[in-house]
Amino acid sequence: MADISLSEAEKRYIVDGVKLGIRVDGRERLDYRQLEIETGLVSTANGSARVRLGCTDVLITVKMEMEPPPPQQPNDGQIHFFVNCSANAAPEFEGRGGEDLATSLSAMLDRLYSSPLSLDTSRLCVVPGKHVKVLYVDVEILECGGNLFDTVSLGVKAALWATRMPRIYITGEDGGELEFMVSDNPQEVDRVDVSNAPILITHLRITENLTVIDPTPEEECCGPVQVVVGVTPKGLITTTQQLGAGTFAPQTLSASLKSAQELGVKIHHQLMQRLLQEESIPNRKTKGFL
Amino acid sequence: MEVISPEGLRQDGRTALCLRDISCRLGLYERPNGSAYIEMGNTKVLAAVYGPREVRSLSKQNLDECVIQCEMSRIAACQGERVRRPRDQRTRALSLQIAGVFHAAIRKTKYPGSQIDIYVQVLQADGGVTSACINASTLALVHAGVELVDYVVSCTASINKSMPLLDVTQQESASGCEVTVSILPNKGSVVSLDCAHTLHLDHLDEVVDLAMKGCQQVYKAMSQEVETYLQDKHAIMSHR
Repeated sequence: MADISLSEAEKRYIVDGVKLGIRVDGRERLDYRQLEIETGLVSTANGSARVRLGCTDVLITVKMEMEPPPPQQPNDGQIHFFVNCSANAAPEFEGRGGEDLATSLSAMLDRLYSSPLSLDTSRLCVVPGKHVKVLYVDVEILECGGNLFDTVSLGVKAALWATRMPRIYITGEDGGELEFMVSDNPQEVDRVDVSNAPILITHLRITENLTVIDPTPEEECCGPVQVVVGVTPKGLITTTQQLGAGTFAPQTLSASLKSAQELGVKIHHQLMQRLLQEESIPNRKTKGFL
Repeated sequence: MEVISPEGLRQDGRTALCLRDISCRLGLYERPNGSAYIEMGNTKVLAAVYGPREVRSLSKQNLDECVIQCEMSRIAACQGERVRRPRDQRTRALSLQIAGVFHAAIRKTKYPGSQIDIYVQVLQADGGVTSACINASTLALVHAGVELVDYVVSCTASINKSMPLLDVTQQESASGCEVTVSILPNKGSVVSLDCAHTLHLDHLDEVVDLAMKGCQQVYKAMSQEVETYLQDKHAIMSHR
């Protein structure tokens, strides 16, 4: 992902360190870097969140639009993911350079939220068959510092949690077409139920049977292969994908899946705790980028 | 909706010649050589500079001076309507304009055979987008330590029913015009002048003069922030 070249000596240093149970920045194998989340930065969007995990910085915005549903799913709303790797994240993303990474990220997010249990899209329906709410989730990668999948999924969950959609009332019918009234009252909002929204956990295999969580760009250079696991708050796995040119031994793979499950449950719990804490602060001023 | 109320106040409560609040910050990110963020009212722009570094395509290399490239993009939620494509023809045109502005300001002969990349990200657009992009790029270049002849400072101005307005928002420029002026503040010379929508020739001088005055005010705010940043990093004496 990142354009970092490491010498053989540096790679050995990292690998041997992991074998001894300590990583370059002092973390243990299954430790995350410092995580900062802030919601509600972008006032022009229905919901937004900014997540910083170490050197990785992503900005997620959610906008709601009303559209006619596709004929095969007339009673469900939709959620679409778009990822944009901006050039200030890494110079190789200039022009169309970041498209491959963007496509794989948005495909992963689509799969993550494809299950009806993750996000109840039937609640996004306004008039069955005619009008549904479509959530456009736009992910902007601002700085690429390793472990994009996890950061983006945490951000998406936080942004969906922070999404406030004005309530829509059907006021009448005018010649077959329904008329809507969008509520102006800031208290009358609909929210998205994220109690089952999953997050992604990345395990990078550094050496024979050892994996690390939340790899830095240098570690990503050393490890040949990684597995990305989508975990719900209840510990169910919604999606897995193996990325990279390498192999996993079956025992290592199942151990990674199991530890991802345990970690996922813990992280969900912490995340919701923090989000509720953030919401309870009265008259909160968004710090934003300043 | 009137642009100026009978009491002389605009939609956001400012007077006609009042600049919007400016907040800026240098050095947000570690990977780029220079990074900066600026907020001019509700217009929020992030800029990152990579360089001077090796030229990526040898065909573009110039052995006498450096090559300057700029890419501007917008996030989907930067305006009320969702923006479908982050980069399109309009942003490409603006990118070329911004790169052109910095050709005059960067001491290109100091970096022969290299490339300086400026990447600008518009997070929220509410009028004066090009100005904010240029200002953010200047700060990012300062943070990167690229040699500049002078700061490049930019501001917008407009005219409404013979009343000149400084630093217009999206709504105000939609009903009138938007003149963007970029200057080198210490030298007082104009680097770029751009006008959107129609402006009568009789009013041109007035509006450009107002924009230049606005630029000087923006320069004060930006240089203040740079001084604070350098003081925090102990790069300059704090008793100055």
